Amino acid sequence: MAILPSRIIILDNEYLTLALLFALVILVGIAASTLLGGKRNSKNAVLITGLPFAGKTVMHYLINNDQVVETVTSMKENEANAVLVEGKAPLHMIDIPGHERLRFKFSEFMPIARSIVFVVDSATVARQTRVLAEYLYEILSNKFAQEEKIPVLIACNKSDLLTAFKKERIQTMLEAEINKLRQTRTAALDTQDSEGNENVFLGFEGQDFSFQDLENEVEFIECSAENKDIEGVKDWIVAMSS
Amino acid sequence: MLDFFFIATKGGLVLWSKAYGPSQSSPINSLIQNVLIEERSGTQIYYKDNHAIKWTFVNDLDLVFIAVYPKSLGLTYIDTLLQAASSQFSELYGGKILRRSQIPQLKGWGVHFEALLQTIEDQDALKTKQPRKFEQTTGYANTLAFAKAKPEDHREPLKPSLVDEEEFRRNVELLKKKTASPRMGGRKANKAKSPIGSPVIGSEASSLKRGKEGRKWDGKISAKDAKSLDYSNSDGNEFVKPDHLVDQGGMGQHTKDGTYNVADLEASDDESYSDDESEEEYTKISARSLQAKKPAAEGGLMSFFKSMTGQKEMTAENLEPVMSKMKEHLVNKNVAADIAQHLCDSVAKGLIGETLGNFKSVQSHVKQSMETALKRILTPKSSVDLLRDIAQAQAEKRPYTVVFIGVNGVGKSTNLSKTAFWLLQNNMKVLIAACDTFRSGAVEQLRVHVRNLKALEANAVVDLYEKGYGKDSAAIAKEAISSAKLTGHDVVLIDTAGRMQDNDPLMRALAKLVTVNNPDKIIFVGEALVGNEAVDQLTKFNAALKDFSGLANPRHIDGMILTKFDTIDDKVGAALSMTYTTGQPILFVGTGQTYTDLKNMKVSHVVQSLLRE
Repeated sequence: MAILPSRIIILDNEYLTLALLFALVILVGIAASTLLGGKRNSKNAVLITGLPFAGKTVMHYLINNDQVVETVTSMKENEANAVLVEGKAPLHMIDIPGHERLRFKFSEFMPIARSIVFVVDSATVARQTRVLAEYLYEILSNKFAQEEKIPVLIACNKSDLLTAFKKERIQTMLEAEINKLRQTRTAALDTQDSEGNENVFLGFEGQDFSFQDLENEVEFIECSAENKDIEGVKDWIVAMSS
Repeated sequence: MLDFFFIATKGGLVLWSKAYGPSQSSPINSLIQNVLIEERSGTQIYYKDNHAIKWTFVNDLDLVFIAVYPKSLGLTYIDTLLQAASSQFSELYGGKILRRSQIPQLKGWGVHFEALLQTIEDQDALKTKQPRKFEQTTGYANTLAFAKAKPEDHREPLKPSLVDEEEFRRNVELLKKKTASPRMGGRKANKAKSPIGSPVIGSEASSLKRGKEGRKWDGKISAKDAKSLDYSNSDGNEFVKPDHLVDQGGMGQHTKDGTYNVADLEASDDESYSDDESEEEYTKISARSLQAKKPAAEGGLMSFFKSMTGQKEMTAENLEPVMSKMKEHLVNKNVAADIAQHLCDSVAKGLIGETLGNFKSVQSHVKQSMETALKRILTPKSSVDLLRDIAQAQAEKRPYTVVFIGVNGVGKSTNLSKTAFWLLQNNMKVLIAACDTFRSGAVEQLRVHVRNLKALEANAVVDLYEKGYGKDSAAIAKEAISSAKLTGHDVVLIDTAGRMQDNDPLMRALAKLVTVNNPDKIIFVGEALVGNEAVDQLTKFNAALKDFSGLANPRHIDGMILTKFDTIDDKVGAALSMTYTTGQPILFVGTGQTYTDLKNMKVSHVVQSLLRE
């Protein structure tokens, strides 16, 4: 009988340590989940993307450092935290390379994207309409872009050049091209081990494609990163993030 | 002299550049686009126009150092310069660059670099000046060797000559008898004889004693020369050859500017992720963005933790075993051996110097970067939207032409008819040109396919253009295309005879067919079962199209169909070998026996299969 109480005491001690451990685990769990979950819910990434030589990296550094820099083709994405409005939480700016082989990276960032800036070289747009439309189509038909209705800004860069197209012209060119793409993409073959047709149809059937028909907000803005004329882009990013 | 020196981040920001000649950044952009991004940085040097470019990575800082110099000057000190510059630069400014939020200010680097360049150039000049003395040239060495060799040769025969002068005389007699006949061989003997006749001591005697020696004597000088030449050659080869091989691998297969990633593949990648998979992606990315954020927010704490967990830097030594294992793994997955080697070299190059993240093993890190590399390679860089191309052709009121080429028995005709079926589903009018005029039964096979396809679809417009066997296939294709123009067919699918890549006459015929008809797409049909052979097939087909065309801008393979994909389980290496060799996308994969078994390849699926244990 004398042994029993001591056993109970030992057990009590064990319970105590167990309880302490348990509490610790829970605390860590909560901390981790708030950190991760917070990130997931905040979705404060702004993706800058587009074709090579459109001026994405220049725009990225202009927004973050207010400096026009010399650049070459990017091999890797650039990331930075930019405070566009004083006193607000910084935005996570990501500049995604435009090279065809690296483009798949944009889909990795889609889950955390708040808004997308699609940079277009206004001077070469006529030559690149198809490639441009194909990439834009890819972005717009992305699962996350569809579900979250991520807004897209089409920044018509290099508008200071003599040969630059006006944004309205660029819009009609892109719409016409996407209209064609819709047909061919929905008719494409299935991918391996997939069931049924997974393609998303942009806009309304039986009607020419127009950016207005999309559930995503799509806006066109003329700008020129070379001349530091990107106020419109900044304002749009701020408006979309607030 | 150096033309251009250049420091940039991998993100594309130019940190510092200096032009010594007319400056242009175009060779650098093309270097990045064609070599570095394509995972071909296993090579050492890249030639563009008149420039030779060398580069080096500093991976922990994400920097790339690039030196451009004229191709005509074989500058030897470039490697040293790059090494020295990169190590000094990262020493001086490493800390600044790590703070990514700002554009680093590089005070004094210009002066520093000039000094560095000066010392290295001086050192090099010292080195290069000395060999200019005649004593150190190879020419001198050769003459010296020759001069030395001569007396030796004289001495050598001397000794035996003392031993048997009698035998020599007998031999001379014999030889005279032998060479009496005025045949071709006689001349040689005469030559051999002439020195004997001459009064140069009885020494040459022995040369004849051995009978064959005469020949040796005859070819003595040329043999010597050849020998010395041979030595220098083989020496040179040892150093130059691998470079050349590597260069060809790196540069030869580059293609014109591609256009885009296929939406289909990428988009559906995401869509077809199962829920928990995308969940995984979520956490991965949020972890990633966290990583990106933390240094800015709480750099001090982070660095403390870093030192606590003991991060290690990756070096060539600790990467080596992992890389060789990775290479073996890839080879086991049926990737061609040299491609696995190239790829591993390139990935290793991108990792050396990088510091390992917390709780990460070298192996998992290598696997991760290999995954990105594979994804990069397999993602098409030009449009694979065939229907869009056809729509373009329709707008121009001309038939769209596709040629199917490949070796024997890979399934050209079968996959041609599968493609035809898919096109018919999209209301295209298809004409099949039977240009396999070689193998018996080829035309009948297509006829059966056409009959089947007609039966499958009520109002399908699919016809066969045939002219029997033994005719010139180029001419048949030409006629087929012009007839399609008249009859209003949208697409002409041209079936060719299978041919081995080494069969010269047949390859010429193929090149002719392509040159004469200039098809919109040249599709190479290859088996997924193929291993090392894949590289050989593709390079030889491409070479044939180039060499035998006689055009200034020869065509090349525009895309591939990988057949018998259902038979290989996860040994999908051929897909990688083929895309890496040509840089062209795999348009479709054949996955079965029926007309519907033609699919778009899913990049993520192939990458996963390749990396699966």
